[in-house]
Amino acid sequence: MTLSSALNIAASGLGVAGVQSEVTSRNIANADRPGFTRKSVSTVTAHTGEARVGTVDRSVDTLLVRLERAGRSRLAAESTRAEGIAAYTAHLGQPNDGFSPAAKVEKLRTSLVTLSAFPAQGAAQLQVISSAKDVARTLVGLTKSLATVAQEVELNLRYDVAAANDAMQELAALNKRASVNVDALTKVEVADRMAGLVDTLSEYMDIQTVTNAQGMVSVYTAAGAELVVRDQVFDVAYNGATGRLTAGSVDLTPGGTGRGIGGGSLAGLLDLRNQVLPAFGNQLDGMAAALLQGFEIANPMADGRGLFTDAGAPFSPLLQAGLASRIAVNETLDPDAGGSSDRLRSGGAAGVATGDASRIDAMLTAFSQVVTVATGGLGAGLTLAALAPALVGGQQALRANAEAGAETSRAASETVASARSNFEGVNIDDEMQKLLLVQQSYAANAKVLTTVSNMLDTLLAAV
Amino acid sequence: MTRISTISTLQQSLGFRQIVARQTAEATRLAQEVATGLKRDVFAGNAPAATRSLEVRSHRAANTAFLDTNKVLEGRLQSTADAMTGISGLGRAFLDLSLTGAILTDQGNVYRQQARHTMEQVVSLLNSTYGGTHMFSGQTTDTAAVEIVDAPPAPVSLNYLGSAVPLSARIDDNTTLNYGVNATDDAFRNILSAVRDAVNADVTTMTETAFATLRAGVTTLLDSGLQQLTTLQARLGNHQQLLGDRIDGQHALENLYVREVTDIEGADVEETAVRLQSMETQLRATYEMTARMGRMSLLDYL
Repeated sequence: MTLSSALNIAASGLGVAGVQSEVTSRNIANADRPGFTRKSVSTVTAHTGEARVGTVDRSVDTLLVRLERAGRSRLAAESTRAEGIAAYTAHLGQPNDGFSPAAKVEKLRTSLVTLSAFPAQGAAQLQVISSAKDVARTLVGLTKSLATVAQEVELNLRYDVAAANDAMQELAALNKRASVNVDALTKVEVADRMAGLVDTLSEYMDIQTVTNAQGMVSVYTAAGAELVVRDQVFDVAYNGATGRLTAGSVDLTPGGTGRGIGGGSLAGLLDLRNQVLPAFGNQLDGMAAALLQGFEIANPMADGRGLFTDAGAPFSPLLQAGLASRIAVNETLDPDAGGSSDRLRSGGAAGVATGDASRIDAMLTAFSQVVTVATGGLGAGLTLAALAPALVGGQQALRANAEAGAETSRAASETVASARSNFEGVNIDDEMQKLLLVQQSYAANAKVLTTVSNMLDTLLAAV
Repeated sequence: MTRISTISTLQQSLGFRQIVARQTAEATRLAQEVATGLKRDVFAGNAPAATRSLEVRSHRAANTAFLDTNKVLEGRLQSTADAMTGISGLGRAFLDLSLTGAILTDQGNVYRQQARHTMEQVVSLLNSTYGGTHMFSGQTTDTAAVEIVDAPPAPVSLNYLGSAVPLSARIDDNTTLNYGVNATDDAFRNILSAVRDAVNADVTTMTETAFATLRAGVTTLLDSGLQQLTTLQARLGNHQQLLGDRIDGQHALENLYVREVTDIEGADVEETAVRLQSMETQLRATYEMTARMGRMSLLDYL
């Protein structure tokens, strides 16, 4: 052991302290950035006794990362689904709101009760026509709301697919650079970025990853479809006409015959697009069909049409699809369209007595009769009066369940995300304590340098 | 290397923010429920019950509408009953006049005038309206029930204009009440025929015997008509009773429906207020802890 080697060892301590302080300052500077992982420096001792920087490590727990990404995918799917449904069901209202179809049908029924008592009273007849128009407007309005949500879903599908492809392209580009030799700090920053991209991808789809020794990250869907393999990208594509999602040639559509994704916003959006919204539309059409058919049978006009029409035409079961967007009040009954509301009482026939309420009574009876049209799965044996509550209740129940599911996923996801964030994130106080240690080490090594230098000076002075 | 488990500064802040956000949302929900007395989202708590509530609301609305129209119908039946009582009184008064031995042949004109007066009064009552619609015209409620055709030298006659089909009304979802009383009913026809015969008789030239025969015929017809009228009144009374019972039942149903809807949609205000208070305390504690943890930093000691 010589004084010169002591000088070298002290100098190496200064160097290590320098790197440690750089890493600590990076940690502190990025402490508030989500996704930033805490870095730490491991040191090694050379055979000469010098301190050397071993590696710069990211603080990562792979199990927590996997769990957190799985939770993120599940939450994204369920919250997307719940938000999509809620955007539509907001128009259905709560039971005490007057704007739901249930309230409108209820109003039509009560106005018919009044008309039944005063069949020739003009005001009572107009009230029925006005209520019927309100029912038709509500169904048409709900269909439009459903179409607006469907358009949003379509747009979001395209945006999310584009964003997922961008993330996959960037990941592949970073994989390409992983084989290039770079300094340790740059390497861990790149790893952070890649982890961030994979996190982003997990919000779009449920995925799994494989990382090789060089740090290249390959991404597959949870069902095993390739998305990124080293620097090769299998672009995700969405077909708006068929509602299918593919990666390369593999079908990723949930519920399909291929390797369907089960999580992420894309799964939620596709479920909305292919299942939920069409089912809601069918139920609205079923409601419209029941109204058309029910009143056509109860009180047919001379031309066979009833209180409601299919854009002017009589009801046809073959044309039930989209009926809720076309339902209208029979123009021959609507004074605003040049008709006469008195036809409600007379059916357009001559010589019907003013006190004859039989046609109105038949319309009232229609509310108690079992609906025979297809109701889109609202249930069998429903009467016309029970159909609107069943529609509103069923659709709102689906929304409430979806929101409850999303809330459960959120709670679970937040717990794991919090654990991951604590594991990976920076505690500033802890970093300051580490910095104190680095400062002490630096001061001590500097003191060693000064002391050894003085010793050398003393030796030289003695010569 | 010794690993120390730490709490990320960012996560600590996010955690407090998440807690505050959750507690604030819950407090807002509770405050809204306390203010309105209704659950904020009925479907979230119990979706099948919420659907049931919608159905009950629909039944309640129909029940309320029937109740309103039944009250109007109750008034109509009472007016009909009042008119029939009036007709019965007029008929009985003329019957008494026909039966009495006090009226002599030389008072035939008085008898005839009384008959004319009775006929006009009965016709007037049969043509009375309720709410703008005729009560004794059957389903042709826009038409008078009967008219006196008085075109001398032809004898006075009666023209029945109304429909013979009686009026009916739905008093609930399943019951139709055929309540109508028509001027064409035998009761009114017989009463009016009796007085018409008296009006058309040439009492000034009648012998005592002929006058007695006339009065006997009038009495028989009137008596028969009045008996039939009593039957009609009894039937109408039964209808009024039935309607009254139904109205009472509908009042009871209304209360039942309101209670059921309130049970499902209503928030337990006392419990919600206590939970709101508790949530306020929790929120204050969270703010306090957020501030304290924020103040506790090594930086203050360096």
